[in-house]
Amino acid sequence: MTKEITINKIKGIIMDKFEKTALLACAVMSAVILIFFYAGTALGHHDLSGSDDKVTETAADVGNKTPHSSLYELDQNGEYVGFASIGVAGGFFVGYIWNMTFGEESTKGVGTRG
Amino acid sequence: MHISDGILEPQWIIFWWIVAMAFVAVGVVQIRQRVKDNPQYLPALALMGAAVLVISVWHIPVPVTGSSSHPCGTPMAAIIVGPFPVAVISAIALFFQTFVGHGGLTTIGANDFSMGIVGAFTGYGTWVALRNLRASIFWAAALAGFIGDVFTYVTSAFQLAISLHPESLLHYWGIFLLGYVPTQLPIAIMEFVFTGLVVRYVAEVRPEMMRLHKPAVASTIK
Repeated sequence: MTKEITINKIKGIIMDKFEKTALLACAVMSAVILIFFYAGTALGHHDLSGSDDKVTETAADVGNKTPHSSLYELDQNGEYVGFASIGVAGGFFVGYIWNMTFGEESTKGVGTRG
Repeated sequence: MHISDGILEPQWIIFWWIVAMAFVAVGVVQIRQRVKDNPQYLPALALMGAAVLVISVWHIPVPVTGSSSHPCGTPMAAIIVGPFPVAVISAIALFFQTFVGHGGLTTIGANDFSMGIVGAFTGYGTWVALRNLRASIFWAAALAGFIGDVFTYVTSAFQLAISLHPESLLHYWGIFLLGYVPTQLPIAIMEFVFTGLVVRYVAEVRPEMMRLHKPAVASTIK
């Protein structure tokens, strides 16, 4: 029993299945985005801005409107930081909640997670 | 589909707020009841809320169109926690996204209607219909993700057209759709894939999560 708990603890410290899956998903998504971004720039599209922004510009032209933020305006770097922050915060939240929803009841607290 | 402030006419801003908040009110009532019935519902709801928050700011470049867009995540969330509660978590996600310049404060109602309500209900309806036709979990969920994503943007285009040019609604609806669809279709295909995979994973690893809100549908899970 003690040996089993020790082995489980070691496995949990090194990397459990959830962590491996999450890291793999992160690597795959990053690769996809980088490849698509490179392909986009190779095709001559150096902007690659959001379609939401482009449709907003069209809507503003069509309706003679001025899009604006009710809070504050962020420059492009500010938006990058903001979006990344939301992603990080959301990711931490998902990781924390994951254990409560997918963690194995019998091994909770001994290092192995679902 | 995140419409910024300063675009919609004031009467339409109010209209979409009223409609969205009606769904949010029902969602809040359902959440309270379900948490009382099953404490496991709350962590699942929190997980889906965080997922919707992240997925709907996840801009993916589409090389051929020269722009980027994001999936919605609301069809997936609707399958797990039910469609009305998704209106609640979407409204919360949209509120936080306002702080990074994604969407607007006055347009939370409109954006919640397109993403959190239409996206969720069309996705959920597709899931229920296909499961009743004995489609596999992957295909039912995947098609739900695709349909929900597409209908979200169809609705956003409609909201812009009816606010800005109601007299030429169909014409401008088409124009705004042309702005969204070429970039959004590949993203909808990605949403097709990840919705199918995630829901299938949940059904295999935690089948009881599929019964959190709809025992009748979940009983058909193979």
